[in-house]
Amino acid sequence: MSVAELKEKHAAATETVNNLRERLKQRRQQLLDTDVATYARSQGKSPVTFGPTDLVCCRTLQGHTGKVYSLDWTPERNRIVSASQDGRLIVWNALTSQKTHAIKLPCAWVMTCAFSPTGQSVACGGLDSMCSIFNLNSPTDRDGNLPVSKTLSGHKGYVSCCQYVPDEDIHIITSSGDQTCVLWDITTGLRTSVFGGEFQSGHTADVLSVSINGSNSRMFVSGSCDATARLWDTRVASRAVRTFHGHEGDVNTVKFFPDGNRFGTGSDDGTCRLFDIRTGHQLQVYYQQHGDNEVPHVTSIAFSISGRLLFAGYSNGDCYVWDTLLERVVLNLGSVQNSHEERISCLGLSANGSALCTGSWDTNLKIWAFGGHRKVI
Amino acid sequence: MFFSLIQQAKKLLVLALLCFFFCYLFLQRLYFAQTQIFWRFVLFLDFPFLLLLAVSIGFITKEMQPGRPQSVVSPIPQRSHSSQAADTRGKHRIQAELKRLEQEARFLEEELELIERMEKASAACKEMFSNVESRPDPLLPITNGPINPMWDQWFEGPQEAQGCKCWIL
Repeated sequence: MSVAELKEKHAAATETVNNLRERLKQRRQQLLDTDVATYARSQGKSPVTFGPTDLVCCRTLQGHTGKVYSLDWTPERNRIVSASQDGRLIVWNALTSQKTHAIKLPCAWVMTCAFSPTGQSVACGGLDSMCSIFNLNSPTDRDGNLPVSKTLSGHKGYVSCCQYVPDEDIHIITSSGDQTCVLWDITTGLRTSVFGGEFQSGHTADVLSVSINGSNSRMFVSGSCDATARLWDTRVASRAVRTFHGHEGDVNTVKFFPDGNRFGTGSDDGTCRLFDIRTGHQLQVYYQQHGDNEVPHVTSIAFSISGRLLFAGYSNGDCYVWDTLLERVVLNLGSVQNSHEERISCLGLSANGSALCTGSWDTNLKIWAFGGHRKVI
Repeated sequence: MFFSLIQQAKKLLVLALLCFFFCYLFLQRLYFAQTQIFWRFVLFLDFPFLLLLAVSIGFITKEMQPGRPQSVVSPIPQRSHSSQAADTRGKHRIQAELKRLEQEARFLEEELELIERMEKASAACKEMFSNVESRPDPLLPITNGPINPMWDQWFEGPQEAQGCKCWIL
């Protein structure tokens, strides 16, 4: 077949794909008979209301000398690991504010960090295109630095996000600027599966975030600069289970909903969205109109343990607390007393849901908890 | 025909260079033979000129060698060889892209079939509403029980550490 004939076929195939996408979009639109907020209002649901002293900053973790880019809680014992532009990981006891480890990284350009499920290891990744594992119980070297216990190399682009597979310290999933996600076996240092890439169907731009389903650890979602989120089954690397369209900009952050059947996304288009993994439906858009022309990007999101609250950090320094059922901003942690002075770049909820940790470009981390009067029904 | 004209032009250029060289020598001997600076002039000017001439002739005649019949017969095969390579590379790229599009089309068709049997968004909204309502949440002012006493640990005991365990910072 000549090049000209191939080009003709290519043009025809492109048109076919575009037509199919349009048909799919229209069919899906017909199935969107309601959204979460409309349904909740129809049930007479009242919005969440916070008093001025309800959600308060109860700890400020100081120690980094550069912007904080990422943080992660342990599943137990209230420890946090944070990664910063200063080229260090710091492990904190969130209750006492003490630092238990300060790990100088071989590559200072770190973008992500994660705590292992047992709390014995931490992982980080960044512009070196590798994921480095540190065993917190290892002896330090003669310079007092914790050595790298394993290096996971194979990505052809920066490592944007990493998360351990729950309940085991052996597997970790990373996302990368090389448009792939990878499931690693930490014991061998080898790639178990590659999701996407040039030989398989997957993201068509940098992948910025991953989130593993807490209810079914074989499923994870990824968010990408191609404006889509994709749901993956770790047993099937050849293609995504489903692709979620809707965003109009880079999907910077994804997070599974507590019940494991939905997930949230945050994007450069200024919106957070909630998707259902079984049907692919976009259940809700969380967006607040801004007066000026510039729409702030969503940098990070986290759900409260029930899913009623969605915490979203924005590039303009806001940190909105959304009532997910009624699509309403009930608080802005970016403007309360004792808040961060710069953009909130990362968020994470403690294992029991009693505290939210925020990390900021002002080099600090803050712990927020409910300090008001709690009514139990 | 165009190529043969180029060959002719190259031959003429070589002849012209040779003529120029001999004219230069003749004039040189005519005007400077009587002076002692003649030989110094020869050394300083003739040698580099000779070198340049030799290189030029060598370069031109190398392209005219019979050992490269393709260029002698016609330049087109040589040019088409390189463009053929470019076409092959482009062809592979287009084929890979086409394959990806065909695969994408199959996936979309599968999804269209699945969506015909899919329930509406209201079912998912109802399920989500029910799940959220039933779970206790320590960050809510009004929540279901049971309460976990650990929820208030953040407000118990000393809030600031007396010292930092990490000597590095």
